[in-house]
Amino acid sequence: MSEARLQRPGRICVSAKTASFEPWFLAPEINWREHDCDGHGVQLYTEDSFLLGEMGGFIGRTLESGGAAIVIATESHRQGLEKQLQSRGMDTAIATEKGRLVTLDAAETLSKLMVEGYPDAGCFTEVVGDAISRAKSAAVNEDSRVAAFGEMVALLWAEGKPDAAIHLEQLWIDLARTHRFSLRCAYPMNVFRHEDADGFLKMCAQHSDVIPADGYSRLLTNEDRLRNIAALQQTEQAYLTLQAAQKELERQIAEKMETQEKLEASERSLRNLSGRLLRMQDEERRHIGRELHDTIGQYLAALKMGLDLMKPEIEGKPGMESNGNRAAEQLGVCIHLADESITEVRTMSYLLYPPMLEEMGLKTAVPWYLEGFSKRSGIRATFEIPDTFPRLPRDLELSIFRVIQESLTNVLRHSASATVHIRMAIQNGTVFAEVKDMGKGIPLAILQFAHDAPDAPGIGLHGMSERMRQFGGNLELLSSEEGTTVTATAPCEEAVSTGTSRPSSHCHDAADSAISPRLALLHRPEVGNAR
Amino acid sequence: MPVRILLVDDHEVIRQGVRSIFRDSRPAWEICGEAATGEEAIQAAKALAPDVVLLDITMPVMGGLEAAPHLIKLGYQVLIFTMHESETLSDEIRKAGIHGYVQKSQATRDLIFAIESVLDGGTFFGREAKLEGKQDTGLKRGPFLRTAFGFC
Repeated sequence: MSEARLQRPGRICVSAKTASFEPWFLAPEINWREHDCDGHGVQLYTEDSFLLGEMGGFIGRTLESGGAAIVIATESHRQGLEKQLQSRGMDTAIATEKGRLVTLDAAETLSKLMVEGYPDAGCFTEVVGDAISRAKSAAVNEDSRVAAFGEMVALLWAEGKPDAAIHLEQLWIDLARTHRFSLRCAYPMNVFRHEDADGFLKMCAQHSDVIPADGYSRLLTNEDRLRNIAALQQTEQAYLTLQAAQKELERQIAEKMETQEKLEASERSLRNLSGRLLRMQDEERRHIGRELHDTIGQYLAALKMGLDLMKPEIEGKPGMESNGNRAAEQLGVCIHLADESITEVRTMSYLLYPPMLEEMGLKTAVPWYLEGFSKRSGIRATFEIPDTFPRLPRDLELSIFRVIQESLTNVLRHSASATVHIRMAIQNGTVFAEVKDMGKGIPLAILQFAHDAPDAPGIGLHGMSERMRQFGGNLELLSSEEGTTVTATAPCEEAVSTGTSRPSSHCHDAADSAISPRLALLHRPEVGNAR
Repeated sequence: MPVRILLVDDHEVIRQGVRSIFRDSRPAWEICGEAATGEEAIQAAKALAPDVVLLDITMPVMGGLEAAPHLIKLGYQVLIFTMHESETLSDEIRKAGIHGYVQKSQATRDLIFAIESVLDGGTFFGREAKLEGKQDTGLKRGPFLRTAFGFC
């Protein structure tokens, strides 16, 4: 055994046996040929001639000492090896005939072993195990060694199947438990690339000896050898560093992906939450709006009727003029207050929930709203909608309505525009709602701010775009000194109905199933003056 | 022959108010039936054959705008009687072939006149006068609530 030995299988390193020497001078005067003993070595090489020389020695010495050899190699290597052996004075034909030298083609043998992309243990034992047993029985005496030289692993590696190669190495190791032989695998250095660091180390780990490539044994001085060893160690170190860096990178990527997933999940839940909030807010406003209209409104109307009915009685009673006048005056005030209350309640309820949106859709509810808006603001509003505009799902109708409402609030508060034009249409399965004013536009700074921080409060953009996003839609804002245009878009099903009734899946009114009076409402010819 | 009116509204206070108006102004008129939903209105109209149906819009199950086309188809004169005030609504009602539209807040002033117009074969879609003095409503009223809700 040499004094410098591969300490652990697969680790390329030089150990010091004697501490009194500087490690530098422990340059191993290794005779690698001593590694002919039983074991599983790997021979790395760059030049064929080097490999053939080494293997010629390995096989030749075994045969010369009365042992047997099995060679599983490429055709060119088999031929080269034969020449090597012949140059040693051996008659390879006789050795083959006696069965002491068994040569097999690596690719052909490998093809017999492969099952579903991996070398199969059963086939391996059958083919290779039997070959070794046969060779051994042909040896001069029972104790003679059997030397094996195999390149099947290198073929797998070169084919880009390192896992299969490692697996085959394992099969060789397993075979060594039942058969006694000395194995030398050979790998050309060019099959290992930098990114194969992991695989290279794994491959090394499969072997009891790793024998350096060509240059090593040709080196004459210790210094050269040490340099060579140092270079190998550095390569290994580089591989290890690379491997560690790669692992760290993989860990970081995994971490980032996890963070990304968490972020996406939290965004989704935030979106769901804001959608729920919007729906809750809508529902609450709808409830309050309807209650205002249906209860307080009705009571006020009844109150007004009662007060109006008192009017002629109080105003018309003769002989009670002085008292009557005072009472009439008070009554007038009460009637006025009742009127004001009715108007106020009505406006509040309209603002909270658009009247007739559910019953008659956007085609009626929007102009209705615009009518009130123009009265309250003095801004002239025009509305354009095709006759064929269909009913949309309830939530979508409400969201579009709210976007228009919010945009009009902005027009009134900020634009100083005297007019506003609202346009709605459906094109290619997308519903458009556009609110365009001729005002002074949104200052660039605010526009930029709204773009950079859409969540920031101010012009309600966030709420509007969130509403559209709930339906997979979009909100677009265009502003210049000539005015501002807000465009809401959302995908919608193809037109189901062009009337006032909603698409059937969204009908919630039992009466709809029997008849479609809402549809009729818009399209009936005038019969007003008949009779 | 007395005028027979079918009164359709889901609020008793309103029906009571209308009864008072008729009692004071047209005691001879008869409220031949009362109903609280659109469906009831159609049933009652078929049974009672009124001269005029006074029809609220917002009612449970079936609203007035849904019931109106059926009533008109059956040949009845229909007057919408509602809290709503809107030209858009007025147009929709007109387009649907309904004979008229009276705001509840103007009942004492308009209701009798509207019914008589319809009975004469005419229509009633409000008096021009009633819009006067309404232009100033809105902006300054209820600033607190409106601000609170963020509406214009």
